[in-house]
Amino acid sequence: MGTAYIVGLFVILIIYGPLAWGLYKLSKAETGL
Amino acid sequence: MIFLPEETWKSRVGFVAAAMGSAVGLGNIWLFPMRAGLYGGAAFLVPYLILLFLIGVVALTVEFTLGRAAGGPIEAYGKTLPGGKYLGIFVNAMMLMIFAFYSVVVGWALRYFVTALTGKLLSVDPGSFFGSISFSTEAAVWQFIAIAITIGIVIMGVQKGIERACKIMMPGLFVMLIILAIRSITLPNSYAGLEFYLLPDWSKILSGKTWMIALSQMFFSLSCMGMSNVVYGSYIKKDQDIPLSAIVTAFGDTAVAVTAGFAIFPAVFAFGLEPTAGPGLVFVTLPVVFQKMPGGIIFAVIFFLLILFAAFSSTVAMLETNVQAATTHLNMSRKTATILFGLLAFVIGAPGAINPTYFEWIINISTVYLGPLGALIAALALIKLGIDKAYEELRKGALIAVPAIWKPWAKYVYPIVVIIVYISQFIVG
Repeated sequence: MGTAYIVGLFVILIIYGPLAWGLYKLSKAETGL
Repeated sequence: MIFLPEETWKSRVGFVAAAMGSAVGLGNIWLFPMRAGLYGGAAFLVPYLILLFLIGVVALTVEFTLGRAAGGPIEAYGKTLPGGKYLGIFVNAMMLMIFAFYSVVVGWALRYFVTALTGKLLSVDPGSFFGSISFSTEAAVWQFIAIAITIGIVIMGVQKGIERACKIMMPGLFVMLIILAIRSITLPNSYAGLEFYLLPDWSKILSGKTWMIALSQMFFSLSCMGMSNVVYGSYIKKDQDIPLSAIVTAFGDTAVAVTAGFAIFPAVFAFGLEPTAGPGLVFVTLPVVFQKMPGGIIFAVIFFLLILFAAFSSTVAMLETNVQAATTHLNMSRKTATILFGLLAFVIGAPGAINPTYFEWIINISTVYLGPLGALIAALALIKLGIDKAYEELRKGALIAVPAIWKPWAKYVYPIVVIIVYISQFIVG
């Protein structure tokens, strides 16, 4: 696998990781109301 | 005095969708990936993410908190700063000008979307086509349609109009962007595009210019200009979260920008085209890509629809800023204010739809020379409101802990950074 693919996967993880975590926490708080 | 808004967001997720929609715009699609490619590839993300956490998230918390504590720009600045009411009117005027020229570009995107839908985009010469539709009477007609659609959403109100539309448009935008990214990466000979976009050049992050570019890009991408974010903040209920919403908004905005690079560069390189064509990337280079790509018309329709989602989720925030001011201070109904300010934006922007010199002038005045002052006004207003009071406001309904360092950070560091951003506009362009 080329280096750019590995870097790309890493970039996706560090951006989408916090986004998914935050959205999950917001949704959880919403349904808990 | 406690500020109580007449309208509020229905849900936390709805607010985040609207705030993210306001932040995500055309700059995410063409400007961020191009700058990342030119200034270090993946290494560009290092300064960008550091600044996003240290400045971007703080900037959003400052503007949202100010809005919830004191109301829209005219109320918030009027209560805190000498002559603040006039500063509020000033930022509203800037917002109207930004909406006026932005709606011209949305008009171009609408024209492209319709041309893609009819299949004709595959048979035109993209360069000549763009030349024929931009800066013409026809462009003013499409600008009017773009404004009419924005009016149609805003007139329905905060919950039933803006929030509902953004809850559809933002997930839709992500889905379409991911489809395009997968298609782009799987094209033959696309790997060179990924290399251009991602391979890190660590020497670039030692350059001050790279940090300035990252700071400027991040700041304007998050729409931190003391305008729409303050208005959106004023609609947050006291039991709704601000700090986590700011983080999600910042990362959502960045996710769109980063994914746009995956959707664009592999495809552009796969067909041997120029990757640094600026705004022309969207309206000239990519249509060439769609013409050469198998099944290109489907991807062209998807691409211009996602551009429209990014654009309309921003224009509703722009128009809402003026509508909030007019309904609060001019005693107008939402219906009257929305139509009136929509038409005003058309009157101001239509000459720009026809004349490129005026178009450039209105962009420079509203986004480079005067608009960024709004961020500084908001930062100062928050300080005058009282940093302890602001900190308490920020913690109300918060779903995550806010460290006490936020106080000196928002009071001392943030305003200095805003001044640096303003000056950097003249250095990095």
